[in-house]
Amino acid sequence: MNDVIMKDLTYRYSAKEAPVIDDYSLTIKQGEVVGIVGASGSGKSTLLRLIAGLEMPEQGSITIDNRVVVDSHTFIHAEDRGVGLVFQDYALFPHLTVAQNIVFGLNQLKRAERRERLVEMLDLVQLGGYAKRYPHELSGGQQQRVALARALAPKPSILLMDEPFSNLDADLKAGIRQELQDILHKAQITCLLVSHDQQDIEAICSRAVNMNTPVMV
Amino acid sequence: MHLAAITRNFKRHMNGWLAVSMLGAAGILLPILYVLLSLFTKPNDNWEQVKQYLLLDYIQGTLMVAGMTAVLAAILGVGLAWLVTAYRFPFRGFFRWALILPLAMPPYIAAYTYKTMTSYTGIIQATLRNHLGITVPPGMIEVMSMRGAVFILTLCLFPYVFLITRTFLERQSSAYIDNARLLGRKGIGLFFQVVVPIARPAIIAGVMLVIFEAISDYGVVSYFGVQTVSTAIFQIWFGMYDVDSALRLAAWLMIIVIGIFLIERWLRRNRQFHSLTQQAKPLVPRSLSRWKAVFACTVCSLVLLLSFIVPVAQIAVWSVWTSHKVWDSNFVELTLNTMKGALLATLIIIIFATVAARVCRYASNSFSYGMSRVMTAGYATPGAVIAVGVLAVFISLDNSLSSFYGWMGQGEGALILSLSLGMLITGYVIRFMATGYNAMEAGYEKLSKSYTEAARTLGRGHFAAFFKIELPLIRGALFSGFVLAFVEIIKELPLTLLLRPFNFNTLATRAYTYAIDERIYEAALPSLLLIMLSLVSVLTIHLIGKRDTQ
Amino acid sequence: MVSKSRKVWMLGLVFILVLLTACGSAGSNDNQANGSNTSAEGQQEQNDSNTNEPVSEEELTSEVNIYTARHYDVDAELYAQFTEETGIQVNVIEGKAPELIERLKREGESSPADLFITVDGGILHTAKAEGVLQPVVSDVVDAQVPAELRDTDSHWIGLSTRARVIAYAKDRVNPEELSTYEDLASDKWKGRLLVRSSSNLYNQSLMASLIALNGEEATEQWAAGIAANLARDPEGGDRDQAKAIVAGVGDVAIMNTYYVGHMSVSDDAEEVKVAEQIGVFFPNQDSTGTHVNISGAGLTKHAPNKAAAVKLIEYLTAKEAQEKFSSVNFEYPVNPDAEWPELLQSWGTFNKQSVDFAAYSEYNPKTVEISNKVGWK
Repeated sequence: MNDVIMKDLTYRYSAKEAPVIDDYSLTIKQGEVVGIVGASGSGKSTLLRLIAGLEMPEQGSITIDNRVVVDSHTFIHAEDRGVGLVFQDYALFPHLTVAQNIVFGLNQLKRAERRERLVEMLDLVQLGGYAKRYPHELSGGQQQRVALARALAPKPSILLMDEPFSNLDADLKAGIRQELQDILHKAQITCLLVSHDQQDIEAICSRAVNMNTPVMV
Repeated sequence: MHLAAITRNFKRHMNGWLAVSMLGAAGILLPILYVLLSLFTKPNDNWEQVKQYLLLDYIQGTLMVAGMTAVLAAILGVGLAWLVTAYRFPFRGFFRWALILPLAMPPYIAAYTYKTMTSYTGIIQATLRNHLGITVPPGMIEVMSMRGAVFILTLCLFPYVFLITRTFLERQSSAYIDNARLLGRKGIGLFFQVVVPIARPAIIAGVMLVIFEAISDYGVVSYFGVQTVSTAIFQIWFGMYDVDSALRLAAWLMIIVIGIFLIERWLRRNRQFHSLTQQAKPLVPRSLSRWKAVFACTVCSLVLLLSFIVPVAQIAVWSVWTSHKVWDSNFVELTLNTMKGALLATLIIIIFATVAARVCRYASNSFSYGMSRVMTAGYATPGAVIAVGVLAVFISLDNSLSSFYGWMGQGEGALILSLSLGMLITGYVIRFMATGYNAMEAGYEKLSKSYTEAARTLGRGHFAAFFKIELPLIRGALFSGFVLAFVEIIKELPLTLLLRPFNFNTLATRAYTYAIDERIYEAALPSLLLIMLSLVSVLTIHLIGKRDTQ
Repeated sequence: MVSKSRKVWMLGLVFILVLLTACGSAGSNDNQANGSNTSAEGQQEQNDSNTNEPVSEEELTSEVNIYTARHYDVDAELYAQFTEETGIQVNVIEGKAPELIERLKREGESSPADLFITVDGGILHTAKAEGVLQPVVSDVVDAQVPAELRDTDSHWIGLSTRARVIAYAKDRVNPEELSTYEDLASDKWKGRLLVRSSSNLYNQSLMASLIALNGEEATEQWAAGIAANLARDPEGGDRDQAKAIVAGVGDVAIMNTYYVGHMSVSDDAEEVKVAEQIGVFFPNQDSTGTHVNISGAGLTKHAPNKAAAVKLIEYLTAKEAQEKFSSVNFEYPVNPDAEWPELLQSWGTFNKQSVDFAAYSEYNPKTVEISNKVGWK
């Protein structure tokens, strides 16, 4: 099965501190949209970084699509994991246009394929007319959609989203939640998103996990 | 730990970046270690004598010079930076960039210029005497002292504080300052209660540069007869012919410098303000009432006159006096030599500095921090001390390569590396790595880590992340780091004297040749060319800054 | 785990460093075990790549390498003339004398340097004592330079001398009041004497010569008298003492002859005026003689271009070059055949101290000690 399996993960910032993630296990089935809720500092974002390969766990293993990406004797670098990550601050490259941002991860494709994928992605996030714009010329919601398109463009095995709504105005939130749900549905992607807001998770996810009290699945 | 786990960890951390920065660190560390290792040799009688009678005085001298210069440069730099960013007055736009010009003036040249100007035959006393009939009482105009050294160093070094603080205030501070104004703060209160605290990281960064320059200065203090640790190193070496004790003292100086680095890190521990206002709008300057505007303009003019225009004008006059016998076609070669050495070294510095700053940014642990600090320890070490370390390492390299040279047909026992320009370049790199590194570190600190992480999760490696994403975004820091290091190197003297290959003269060594023999007027022409060369470089910093803000 | 990986890296770095330093030291041991004249041959091969046959040491090579602490334009001019006349290229590294000696020592037998040139007999002697020089064997040099201006073993050869004299205000001081260095320490000159810092080598060598002549105790008293008579704390160089006389700070100063010469032809009219207002007095004419110091060239121990180096010394001590040193730089020639420039002639001939230059270096540490003790800054 093309699942994402985390087993017995332990992580601490420094040797002196108590682990922020302690013996944590979680399995996400293909196509599932899982939400993780937890207070800030509970290690939600760190979990995403562990999956993405930006941090290394002290113990435990992660398997994505039947491939072990990290365990006691394996470490696959972030660039080779095929994981999409939408950062809390989106991290759109300020000196590149929307189109350049989206195709950034597509350098392996031929030029024509790249164009095709770009159009596809712009359609998906409904930003057809914005290809030539720069990130700072977009609204917060639009920036988020660009970040989403950029992460989805290389067809990752799993999409990770870190606090997708924290940078948005409250009155826009409902609309954007809906949009995001539609996009995720259309893209048919396995997704793990973290939020401190229970409502966000309930609105979008098929399953919710609380980080503070790990649930074994 | 299992072997498998070790290989995994190795793979996790190992990449070209770390390898390059370790290589650079090793190259820089060897000569520095050579000096530091002298701490572990057995001290001789001279050292006991130095420790007993002189050390305390010398340390006191260094602390006085560095401390007083730091305080005055901070006052001048921060005050002027605030003036030109917050207020509108005549020629404000001009002073905004002109006040960085003193960076082009090597302190030792300013020292001998001022000394000669204020001497009995200098322009000041001669004019008073010959045209106004006033004879200045001897000793009234006095620069040959601790005060004089501090005066010269302050005028030459305050632009570091000015430049860094001004850039910070212009780009980062408007939200806080506008807010404080709304809350009713103005004038002096605003300055001390808001501006100084929020600009603290920038001020400290600038003042640190000033302190390190002042500690390592040899030219000014020795010319003015002020006793500091750096003059003591040479007194022990030249006076007692005791290189070991001189190196031991230098090693202690390095330890002090590393200590100051640690204090700096502690002082700058909470400097996360910048990320709060990424898209900050520039600070809008306010108008001043007429008299206040005149006052602001006068203060700026006075500082600029004293620190740059007066000494340069004087040097220009002397150059005219002596050009008929000093000028020759060698000057083209001198200028080219100056630039060749400086460009090569600067290039290497920027490459290593960028790589090391990047490694530290993304693997921020105390090992990489320690490595970066040791790499930059050369900055506050007198050039001649670094020169001894470099010389020792190069000669032993040559010796160990001896049989290889024989095989190459160069003859066994030949000194190839230590007679090459490479030795001087290495010296420059060690001495001024900090200048490049600080600029690149600042550049990387402003750059959000998530850009690189985003690039990597998109399937692109470190290489693409660096060239496509980081490089365009840190371009400004890269250029200013390049220019600052370049200017430092063309002004450098003691290292050049000791490490250059045969027949390799630069503008600085030519100026020195005359100045050491009390032939100040003859030294003026090479000095003037040197100032012009660094002036061009300093002006490019200004132009880069201008383009960045647009 | 993070911390463990950090340790792994530390170990790695230490390993690299140890490896590199081990290479370095192993190599230097090798080299010491090697034959001693390999360096000379190697250097010559490098210099003259056309000839593949081994060259004998005495054969003239096409270049000569100099480490010099003299920074005068006239030196460079003379080197250029030498190249023109002989076709031998002169390569120069300028620097401070102690740094150059240190470099020679570290380079050892691989050193490319042939000549070490510097000012001050004490330093020349130090170079000899440090073992970086060898005797110059040349009848030409022996004929051109009197024995007292050469090292006893001809490890170095004098090129020029300068006298350390008393300069006085022509309008305020009658030369008849002046007599000896010793007299300057008497109460007569209280508050009227000017001299630069005791950390300066010229003063240290003067004091060393007095120790050699009068003994340590007398010299300490003398130094105390000098310190007590100073019109101001020592500052600046020799020229500044002359300026201070004219400025009225003091009446007499101890300074080197050639600075007066330089000021008299200065591009600054004010300096010319200063030179005109001061007189030059050669002290101790009726007793021990005026203190002179010497600049000279030493042949380095492992000189790869020995023959060319000796030829250059011969050239520099010949009448023509000597007259040039003297006329441009106002130094006294060492070659008795050389004619003096007008200014030096106007000051006349004088009796010189007869102290071995080796004493300058021998008593140097003592002079530092005495100065610190009596408070001559």
